[in-house]
Amino acid sequence: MLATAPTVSRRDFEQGTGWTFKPEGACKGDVCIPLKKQPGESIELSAIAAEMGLPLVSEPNHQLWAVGPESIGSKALVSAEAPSLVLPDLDGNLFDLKKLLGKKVLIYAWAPY
Amino acid sequence: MWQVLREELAPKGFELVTVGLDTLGAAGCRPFIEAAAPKHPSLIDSTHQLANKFGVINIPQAVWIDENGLIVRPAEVAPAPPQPNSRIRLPADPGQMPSRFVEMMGEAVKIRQEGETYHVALRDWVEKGAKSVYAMTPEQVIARSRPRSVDVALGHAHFELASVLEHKGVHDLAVKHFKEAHRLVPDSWTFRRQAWSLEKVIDGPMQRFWQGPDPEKLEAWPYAGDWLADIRKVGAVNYNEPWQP
Repeated sequence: MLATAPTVSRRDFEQGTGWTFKPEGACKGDVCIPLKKQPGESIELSAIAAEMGLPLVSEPNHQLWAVGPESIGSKALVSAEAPSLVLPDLDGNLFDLKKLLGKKVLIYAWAPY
Repeated sequence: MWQVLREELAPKGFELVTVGLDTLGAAGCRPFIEAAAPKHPSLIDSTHQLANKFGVINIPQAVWIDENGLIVRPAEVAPAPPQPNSRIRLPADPGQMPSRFVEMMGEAVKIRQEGETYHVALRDWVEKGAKSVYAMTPEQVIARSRPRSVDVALGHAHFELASVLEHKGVHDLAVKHFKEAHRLVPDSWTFRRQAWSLEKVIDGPMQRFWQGPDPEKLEAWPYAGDWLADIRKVGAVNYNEPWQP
């Protein structure tokens, strides 16, 4: 996930990383990473990234922080539950993959280069 | 043909979602999407979220998701759809074509395509759902997903940062982070092709396909590899991993 400040709201962190804070810790699917204490409304990226084992790369001069994905189990997926995916179409309208629940979906990646 | 297949399968509760991976966003994808005029959701992913979230490392790749939102096949090679009509037209006379493009096309034709098997599998899944032999269990899906070490995860963070730096016009710094991403995620073709496609080596409509150094100014090329050198290194036949049921 990308951030423009070293701290983000709890909601932005959850939406950006796909990890949700629960009493058990930070969870995705059936997997939970225990946390020393429940985070508040404001999440300090360097602290949470270190505690969860997520990579963090930044360019503070350009107000940019990037939290990378997890590498739990040494696999790209920790759960078969499809992650949240919200992307714009050509006109900038956001499309939420959740709208297609109830259908079989094939997500096809292509590139114009 | 993807659109034809989508029309065939849509009445059976199937939907196709195409996602263009491009740092240049809508500007980069527009001619291709407009030419294809899709009826299905056609989305744009300017920071390669599909890499982070699903492990997409090459194109074309696809992920299957069932009615309950469960992945039943992780990111894997998917046969290319027919080229949209707007696809860059090469000069009718190959003699006018720069030799690099002639060499690139010579390699591209060797890239493995296994469309027929793949579409048989897709139709079977749309028909039979979880009973299809091609639908994996959650455990199989996780096990079949891309390997991801701590280094690979770090490389993804560098790539995401590079994408936004490029948006902001800080190209040199973007290149630095793209290079880190390439070093840390050496098996991602999309991370490399994306970065190479942003280098303006030639002018004109083929600019993004050059993907390599100017033969007159080799030292100006910022990256360790380029399309032609890298594909020759691995062998074009190995560009796509073989599709496994």
